[in-house]
Amino acid sequence: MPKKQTKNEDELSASQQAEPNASDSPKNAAQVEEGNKMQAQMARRAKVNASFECLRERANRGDPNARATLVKFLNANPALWHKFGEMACHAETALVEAITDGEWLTTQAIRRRAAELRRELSRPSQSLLEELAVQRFVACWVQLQFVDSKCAQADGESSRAKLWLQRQQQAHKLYAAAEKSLLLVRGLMPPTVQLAAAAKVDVTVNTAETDGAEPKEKSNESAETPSVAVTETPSESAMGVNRIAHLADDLDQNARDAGVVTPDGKRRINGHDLKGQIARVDP
Amino acid sequence: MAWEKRRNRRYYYRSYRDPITGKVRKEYIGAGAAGEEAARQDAALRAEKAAQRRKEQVAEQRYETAHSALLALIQGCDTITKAALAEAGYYQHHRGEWRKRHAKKTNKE
Repeated sequence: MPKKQTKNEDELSASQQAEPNASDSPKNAAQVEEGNKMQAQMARRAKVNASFECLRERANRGDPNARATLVKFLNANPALWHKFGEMACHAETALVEAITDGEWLTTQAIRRRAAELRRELSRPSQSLLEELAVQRFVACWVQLQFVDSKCAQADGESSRAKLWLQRQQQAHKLYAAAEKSLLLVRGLMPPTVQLAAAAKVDVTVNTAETDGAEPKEKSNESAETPSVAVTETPSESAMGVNRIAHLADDLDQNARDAGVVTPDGKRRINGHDLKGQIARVDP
Repeated sequence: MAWEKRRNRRYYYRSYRDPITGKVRKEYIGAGAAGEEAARQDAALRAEKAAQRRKEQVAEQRYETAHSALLALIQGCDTITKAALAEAGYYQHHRGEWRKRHAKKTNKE
């Protein structure tokens, strides 16, 4: 460490020595000052990006403190939600363009189909998190359709066909992960619980608490009453609910095949009867 | 695929890989008009293949762009979902299922 510091100091002193030569005229001095400001700004931005990436990695590894910090950060910066919304839109648009190669009619048809799927999957009182999961699901569905069609078009043994086969497997994995994520959000976080969790986070942001231990207990209290949330949200879009129930049936079938079912026939995912919650909403 | 010059005359040969032996072989097409016609056809075929390849490259690039955008979306969604679940009192058991963290019972009763 000391060596690095001395090196940095040397570089700094060298730049300071070089400055008077460069700033012979006032214009040059202003330019040098602007350059220094830009460099400082870029360094600061790089530092923030690095710390954010570090935080993101920790959150992905399961660090609760990092996740709590990220939640606070998201609450403090609603623009980030919008950014992710745009990302979903961008991903879907890019995929549709890749499929249709700019052909207008097909583009319109696929966009309408995607919008229809989004409408079917959406619920009237869904949260932002759920909406994001639905958008992710639809984007993955579009990608899977595209890759499936490419696989069908490709020759059997060419290297290109093998490449598309690999991509098809990858797309299937992403689709399954998106489906699982949507079910997870719907199953574990009913709308009122999500709103309550967001409200708790807002409180923590306002009081500027760093530990996050007390708010978690509060959010536990709110999460312990999911039945109220489910009964409060009778679904108006029966199609969407049926689709989710159908997906849950598929998952149940997989669980039965794998033998992960309780003796009373209920499938306990994450300590909750996922299908039960959805069936209650089903008209 | 090329013209070959022998005794001040040009002869058109078409080369191809033998599917059985795997070796490159040359097929005599002809000189004069026949050779010119074959050369024109081959050039058109080459141009068509090159255009097809370029088109495929553009499609590949488009797909890669779309795929990277989708991956970024998925990564962001995952992070946000995990953070929200953690905030709601869940934890991931052995990187697998999400479980509810229950509060410890007190001995006041």
